[in-house]
Amino acid sequence: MSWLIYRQHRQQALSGAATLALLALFLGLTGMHMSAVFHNSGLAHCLGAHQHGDCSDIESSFESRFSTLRQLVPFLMVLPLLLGLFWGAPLVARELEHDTQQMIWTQGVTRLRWFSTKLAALVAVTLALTATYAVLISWWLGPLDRSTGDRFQPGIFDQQGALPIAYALFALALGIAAGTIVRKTMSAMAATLVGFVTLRLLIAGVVRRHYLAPVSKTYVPLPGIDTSHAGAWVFSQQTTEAGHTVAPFTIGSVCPATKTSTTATLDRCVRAHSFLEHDVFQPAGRYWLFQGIESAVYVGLALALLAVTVWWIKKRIA
Amino acid sequence: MNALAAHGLGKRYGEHWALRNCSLEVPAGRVVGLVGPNGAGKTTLLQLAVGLLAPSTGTIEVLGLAPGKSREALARVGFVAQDAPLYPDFTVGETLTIGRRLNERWNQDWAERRLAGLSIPLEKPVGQLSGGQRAQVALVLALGKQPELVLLDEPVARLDPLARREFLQSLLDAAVEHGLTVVLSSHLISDLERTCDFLILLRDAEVRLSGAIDDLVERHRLLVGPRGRSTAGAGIARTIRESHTDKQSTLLVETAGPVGDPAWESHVVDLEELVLAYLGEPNEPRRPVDVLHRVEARA
Repeated sequence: MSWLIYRQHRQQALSGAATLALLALFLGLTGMHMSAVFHNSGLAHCLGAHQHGDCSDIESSFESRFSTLRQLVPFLMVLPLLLGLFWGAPLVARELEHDTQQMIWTQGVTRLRWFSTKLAALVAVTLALTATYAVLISWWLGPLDRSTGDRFQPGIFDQQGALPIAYALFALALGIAAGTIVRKTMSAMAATLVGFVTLRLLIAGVVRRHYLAPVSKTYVPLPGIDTSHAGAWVFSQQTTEAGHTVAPFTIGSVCPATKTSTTATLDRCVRAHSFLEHDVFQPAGRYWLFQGIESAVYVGLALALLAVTVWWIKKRIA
Repeated sequence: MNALAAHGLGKRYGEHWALRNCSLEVPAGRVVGLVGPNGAGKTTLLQLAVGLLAPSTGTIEVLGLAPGKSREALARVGFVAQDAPLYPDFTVGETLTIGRRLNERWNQDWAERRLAGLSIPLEKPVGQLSGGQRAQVALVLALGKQPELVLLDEPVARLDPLARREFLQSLLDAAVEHGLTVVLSSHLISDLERTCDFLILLRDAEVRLSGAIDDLVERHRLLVGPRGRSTAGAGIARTIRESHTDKQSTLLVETAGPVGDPAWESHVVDLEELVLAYLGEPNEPRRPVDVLHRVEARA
């Protein structure tokens, strides 16, 4: 079997490795540049532990310098999909399309062993490639994440940590299952594309925020209190004055900081006007928990799809 | 031991039966022709026998084993599917390597010698072979694992008459060389006549006739007699086909002993007549030539 797998899939493995190599080159060069700027501009130091200075000037110059690169990040969503399209969909469909399953399944290897051996090899290569990629992209995004504090935001959250690996496994399983069931490579690719994108958008846009009930926090927005929740996934922020919703900047105009004002006078002003801040968010500390939950969801779906595929190959084909 | 045994075997797709009520026994060492029009269930029967399909009803055994379930059943049964599907991007040599790597038993020397004898170069991609060469490579792949039973689905359908003859001859040689049981399907009787000593005839998803060809021929007679003459007491088990002119009737019958009534003139039938009689609609006589054309036209 190993010879057959090498012979039939070496081209795909090479394409995968070449794609990763190109990506690594691009990410390596731009990432090193970004990291150098991050450190040389003093941003790293400013954001470092026990620093309480205002880094916003350096941050915004850093972010605007790399805004083009940052806009590319959500498009990285297609990378796991490629594995589903070009590795998953043809795996069984190509055999069925050309009737070669009749030849290969009548050699001295049962069809289940044929499938499980191929699957094991494919999953192993997928894990190796995507784990490398995940480490690389997480490193690359590091400075941007720390500067913007938005690594929990949809579109950024999805591109790093363990998720590229989980998405790739899911895309692969979806491609394999679609190919097995629809029996045509092109149709299976189309189904994989639609299925993957739909589910990704649905989970990122609708489901993910409900993994855990968000934290609701109501507090007096005294000057000097950080209301930005760095690193958190903020759903809503609302400022009220005596129970009525007002624009966030109202506090600054009602209780302006002047040369004569002190912290004490400003505090008194804010309290006197009964300003309150109501925030709903997933705290930054839940980042890895959410990564874990979402990875488990996708890996679970992948396993379910593979179970269906095995059943289908056993009972429904040929 | 029977090379192939089916009992009440059936395969259904939704409401449609591809094969039903199939009961038969094929003794080892036979060369079996599986004949019938396209869509009669030949491919279904072969795929059931090799384990590519699972039965909807009944049972099937090959060499006393459940088909395709175990490595043993896979190892001992060779199969060439219709149109001899192979990987077109593999070379002939790599195709042999599939057989060598995926089967516990494999005779590489024999396979290489045979391909050399057929002048098929090992380094040529399968996609560049002629239809006849590809069929031969598929046959070598099926025989290289030294099976005891080999099943071939329309192995010569795409071949020109010369290649057809060569292929069948080489198949027979291999069968004799290895003491194989061979089952090959065809919708053309002429392919089978010279090759086979056992016949299974399928029509409309059912087995209409099966047995050693000698016995089948011996059991049937063509009777010619005066029109309207009763067939009672003539030793006839059943009438397969009849045709009438104004004065005389021609019956192809299965006999139940010697034909006793001297009014009936009894002739020995040949295999082709017999097959065509069974392929025709019962009680709706056709000239054999029409049947042949009809059958070929569907190919």
